[in-house]
Amino acid sequence: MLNKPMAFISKLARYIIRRWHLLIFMIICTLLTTYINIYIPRLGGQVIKNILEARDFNALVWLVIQIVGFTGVLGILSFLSRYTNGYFSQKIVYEIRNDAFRSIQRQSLAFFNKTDTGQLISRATTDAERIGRFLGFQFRMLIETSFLLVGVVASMVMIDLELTCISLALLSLILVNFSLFGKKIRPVISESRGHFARLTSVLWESISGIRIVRAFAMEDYEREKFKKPNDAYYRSMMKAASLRATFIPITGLIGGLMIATVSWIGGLRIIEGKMGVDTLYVFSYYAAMLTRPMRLIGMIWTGYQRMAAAGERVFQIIEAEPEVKDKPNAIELKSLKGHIKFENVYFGYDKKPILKNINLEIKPGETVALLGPTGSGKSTIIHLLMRFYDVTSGRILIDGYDIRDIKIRSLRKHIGVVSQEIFLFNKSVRENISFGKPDASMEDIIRVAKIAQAHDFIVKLPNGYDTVIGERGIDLSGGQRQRIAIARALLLDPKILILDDSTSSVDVDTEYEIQKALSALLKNRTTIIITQRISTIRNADKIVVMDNGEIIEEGNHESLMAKKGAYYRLYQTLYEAQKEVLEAVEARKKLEKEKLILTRDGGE
Amino acid sequence: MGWHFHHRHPPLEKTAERRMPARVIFMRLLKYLSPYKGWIAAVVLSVIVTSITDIASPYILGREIVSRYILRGDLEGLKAIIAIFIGIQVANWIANTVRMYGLGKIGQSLLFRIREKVFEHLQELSFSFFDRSDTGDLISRVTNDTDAIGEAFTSGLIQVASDILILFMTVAVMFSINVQLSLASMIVVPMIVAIAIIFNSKFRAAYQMQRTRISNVTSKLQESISGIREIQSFTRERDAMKEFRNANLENFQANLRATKVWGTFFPTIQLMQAIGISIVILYGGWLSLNGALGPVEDAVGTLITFTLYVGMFFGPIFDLTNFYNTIQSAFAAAERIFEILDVEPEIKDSKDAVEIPKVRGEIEFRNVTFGYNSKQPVLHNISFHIKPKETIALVGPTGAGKSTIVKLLCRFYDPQKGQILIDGYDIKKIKRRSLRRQMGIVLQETFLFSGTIMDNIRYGRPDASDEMVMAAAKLVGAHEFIERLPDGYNTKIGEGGAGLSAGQKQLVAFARALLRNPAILILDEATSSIDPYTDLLIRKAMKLLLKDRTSIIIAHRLSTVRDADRIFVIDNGRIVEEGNHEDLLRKGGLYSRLYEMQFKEPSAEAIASSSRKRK
Ligand SMILES: Nc1ncnc2c1ncn2[C@@H]1O[C@H](COP(=O)(O)OP(=O)(O)OP(=O)(O)O)[C@@H](O)[C@H]1O
Ligand SMILES: Nc1ncnc2c1ncn2[C@@H]1O[C@H](COP(=O)(O)OP(=O)(O)OP(=O)(O)O)[C@@H](O)[C@H]1O
Ligand SMILES: [Mg+2]
Ligand SMILES: [Mg+2]
Repeated sequence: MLNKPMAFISKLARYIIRRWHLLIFMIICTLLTTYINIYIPRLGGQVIKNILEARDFNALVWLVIQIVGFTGVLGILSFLSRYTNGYFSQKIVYEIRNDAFRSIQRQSLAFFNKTDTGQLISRATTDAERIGRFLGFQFRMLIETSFLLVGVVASMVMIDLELTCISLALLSLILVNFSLFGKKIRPVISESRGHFARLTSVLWESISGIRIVRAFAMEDYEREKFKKPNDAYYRSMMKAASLRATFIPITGLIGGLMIATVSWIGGLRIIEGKMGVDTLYVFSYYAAMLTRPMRLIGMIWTGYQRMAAAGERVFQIIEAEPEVKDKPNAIELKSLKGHIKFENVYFGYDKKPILKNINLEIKPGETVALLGPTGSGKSTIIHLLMRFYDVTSGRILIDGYDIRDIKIRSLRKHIGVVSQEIFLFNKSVRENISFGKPDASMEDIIRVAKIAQAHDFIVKLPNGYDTVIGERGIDLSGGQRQRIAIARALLLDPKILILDDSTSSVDVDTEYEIQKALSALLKNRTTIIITQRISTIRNADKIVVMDNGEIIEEGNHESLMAKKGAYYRLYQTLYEAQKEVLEAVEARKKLEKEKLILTRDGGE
Repeated sequence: MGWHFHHRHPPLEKTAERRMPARVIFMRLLKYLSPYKGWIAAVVLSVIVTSITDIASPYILGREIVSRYILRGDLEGLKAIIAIFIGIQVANWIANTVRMYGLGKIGQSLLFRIREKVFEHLQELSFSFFDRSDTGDLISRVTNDTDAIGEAFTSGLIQVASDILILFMTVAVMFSINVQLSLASMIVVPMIVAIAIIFNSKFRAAYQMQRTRISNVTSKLQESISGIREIQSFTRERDAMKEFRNANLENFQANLRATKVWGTFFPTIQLMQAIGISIVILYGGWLSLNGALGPVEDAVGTLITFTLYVGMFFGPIFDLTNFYNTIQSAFAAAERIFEILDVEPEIKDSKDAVEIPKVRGEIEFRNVTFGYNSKQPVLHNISFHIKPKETIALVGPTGAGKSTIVKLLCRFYDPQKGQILIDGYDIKKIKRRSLRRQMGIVLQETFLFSGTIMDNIRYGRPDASDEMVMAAAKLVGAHEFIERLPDGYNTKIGEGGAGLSAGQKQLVAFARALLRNPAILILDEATSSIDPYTDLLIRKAMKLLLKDRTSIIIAHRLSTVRDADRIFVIDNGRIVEEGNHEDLLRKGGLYSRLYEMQFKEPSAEAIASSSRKRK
């Protein structure tokens, strides 16, 4: 989408222009330094002239004082321009990173399904850094160089037009050289950035999946997997290095040849008496000064290429349009009754349709249980309700508003969700529970933790509520994590509560306690429960059975049992088991009675 | 031995202070260069050539071209000397090409090897290491930090050699031309040394800070990407942004600080150079006015040569200090990398570790006590014995320690007390790979790799044929849904299994474990998110499978564990009950309570009555 380099430049320019006053200041400093840089060699020429002709020591002292003085001023100016430039470029990197981050945060989940974390990280860090390096170094060089070029060439022309032309002719070879170089190195560099991002991705995945790698003893395999991008990156960097080795030293050679030519021609003139040694000195000094900009042009060019490759990748993130976003006139939902309605909803994550013609109404305060086989689309319904994705056709209404007309944030604020796959942050338990409501009081936190049956184990942790749970919450067991997530959702006191398989890792005993505690809470809020456990379902006001993206049955326990459909069959499988328990319990009670009799008998 | 986890595995340092002496870091980096002796020799040679040619140029320009030929009008001589000068330039060019290529080669190879080494080392490190370090920081170390080493260290190192060479040769040539003038131009040297010393510590601090700060940025970024769903559902985007902005701002400030130091240093050195040159001019001018530099033609040539030399002489000094500060940055980076390399894997194969043959699958825990940290044991003195081909179920409340038992069996951690034996071998005496190769594990947290479903199932057994993969998928009931996906088995799934439902991921992970045809099969909540129907089908299929291997099944859904030969009920890190389903139900302990609870609900009576009604 961003193939034209100009498009990229104009984007970057926006950041640069925002700091125009710094830029101007920098340019002024650079102008002055260039002027001094051009002036100093003249002083050198005067020194030579003085020694050869005037032979006046006092004048010499004065010249030298000027040289030192100007260098001092030069130092101050160059500090100013460096510092401004550093500030300027780092600030831009800072802004670009923030923008990239903001854009990442705005993306809908579809974006993250497609994009590797490692890729995102490498773009927002290393690639952004490249832009900074260009702006902080090559960009200043560019300004400096262009001034220097103009200044020096002008001074040279004033000294000797013919010699200037000869030198410039030679020097233009350097330009030819670098434009060739640029053409060659450009694809190599963008290739290498690609390899580097891939390397980061593999690294990321291998570290985050380290437990599986270990469990399957696949370390060698991972090594091979890493080797590929590492090798490729190495090779493309080597390609770049050899290009650099071929092209860059040529500049030095051309510079040397130019000096030789100037010395030869200048020498002839001096011998013929047409020129003074001091002039030759100043002239060759300038000519030598010119080789530096020429050489720098090469560096600037490479730097630019690198930055362009990196910048394109960064701006791809910044410019990525979230698939789901607020309409311009989206409304803010202040309060919510919790009425949910799906009308002819169709949806697919990609080409393949997942949900087909979903019609579902949930009244405020109702508890609805969603069940159905794996992959039938239960979580997808939740994703749509949260507006992580937009429906393909049909609509979803909350309190009568199409959710696409509501501000996303205000929609989500009213929904408390325990998602099926839980992510806890690398923070304390307290911060994790209060994630949706950072200003919650400790009492509230404890209250919800108690409802989620998490309080008891939390207080047993080394630092209680202040225990930091490690990355990915690995320090907790599966069930403990789920309970923290439940507490986190409850703390929001949401009008709509969604529990997506949120007790799958919790033992039945604890689950029962959670349900008991929850039942009081659910009274005045709309609740959607997805679960694989039948006991949770029975109490629901409405049970919705899904299969293959469609709702196949809907009703309460009694009516569905009467229907003798899918729900009935499901219930039967569990019922079999239940019968068995009841029998076992009976048997045990009998046994206990006998044991009691026995002991009594024995006792008496 | 494992009692000191906390002491032996502190999280990687995130402070800005350097703990490793520079010399040590330097020597360690050098070691990586040893395979490139040939290239290093070539580079050194080319450096010598470039140095000599670089030094010869001013001499030729000033003393030869100007003094001897131009000012004296010797045309023939001028021709010859210019030819020589061109020759020197050509030599310089060739040497430069070799040097740059060689440097690229050495530098890139070094980086390649460091990245490889770190990655390999990460593959060796124990779980407790990963429990305590964060992914973003690790990634930043392998990517940003190696980059920093590359930029600075490799080219810098050789540069420094050539600079030192040039420095000495320049001084030698200067002294050979004129001792007094040389001495005069050396006056500024002590000042430069003093300046370098003053700036040294500033540079070091600034660079160290830069490196830590960028890794903070990476970490924040990484966490907010992994937790994006939570951030968005809880509408915490603004706070996430604020946190990131802070980390980013700190990074910005660190960079600025480095710029400031660098920005003051550079002009200071430049001023020194001007002073140096001025001294040469003044003193030289005075000498020449007094005729002490010979005829005036020679004097001018000498002065030109000398000013050029003083310039050259500052070049290396400048480079050296420049190098010194980039090397600071590289060292800071290298240290962070070495910190990873220096973490000893807590669990290593002991020297006498053996490869075990295909095991029968006998497992024994003997008085095993274990805690993730030494203060809080999670398992207390656990002992049990599992016969080959037995199916064992672990049940119990959450956080009881079930998964922990399994992790110990796989030797992800070592117990603090007691022994774990497989087929009579202490697992500490078995090579870890050969132990894990015998096992098929479904971990409680499903993790899938990005790639095709086929590759994911095949993960534990890369040589399995497509038929075998499908057979495994059929056994766990995953085949149907996979076939229904757009590209069937070749459907690509995203990072962490994006594109599949939670239950589908579990099924794929399950198939992945089965495909290994392991002697010991471990299922930690392998079907917790799977609907009861599919679960039932799987259970039927599994009966066959479990017959010829030892299996350990952890499940909260007790229907899953009913058919086990024996059930261990774990509570609070202890085995509180043991027996088969019937025994345990009859016993009326924790198990039977849990089992009843499954069907109990706030209105338990209602179920009982309604189910009776339908009877
Ligand atoms: N990496 C870890 N570091 C520190 N503590 C841990 C770690 N992993 C687990 N724990 C703690 O050890 C205890 C036992 O955890 P374990 O995962 O074995 O429980 P579990 O029986 O599998 O529970 P669940 O049924 O919820 O999965 C818990 O209290 C947990 O907080
Ligand atoms: N991000 C995605 N991209 C493409 N397809 C997806 C994505 N997420 C889920 N799917 C597909 O959509 C279908 C429904 O998935 P969903 O997660 O809604 O199932 P579910 O009913 O919640 O199942 P489970 O009980 O296993 O959680 C599945 O077939 C799955 O493969
Ligand atoms: Mg789901
Ligand atoms: Mg567990």
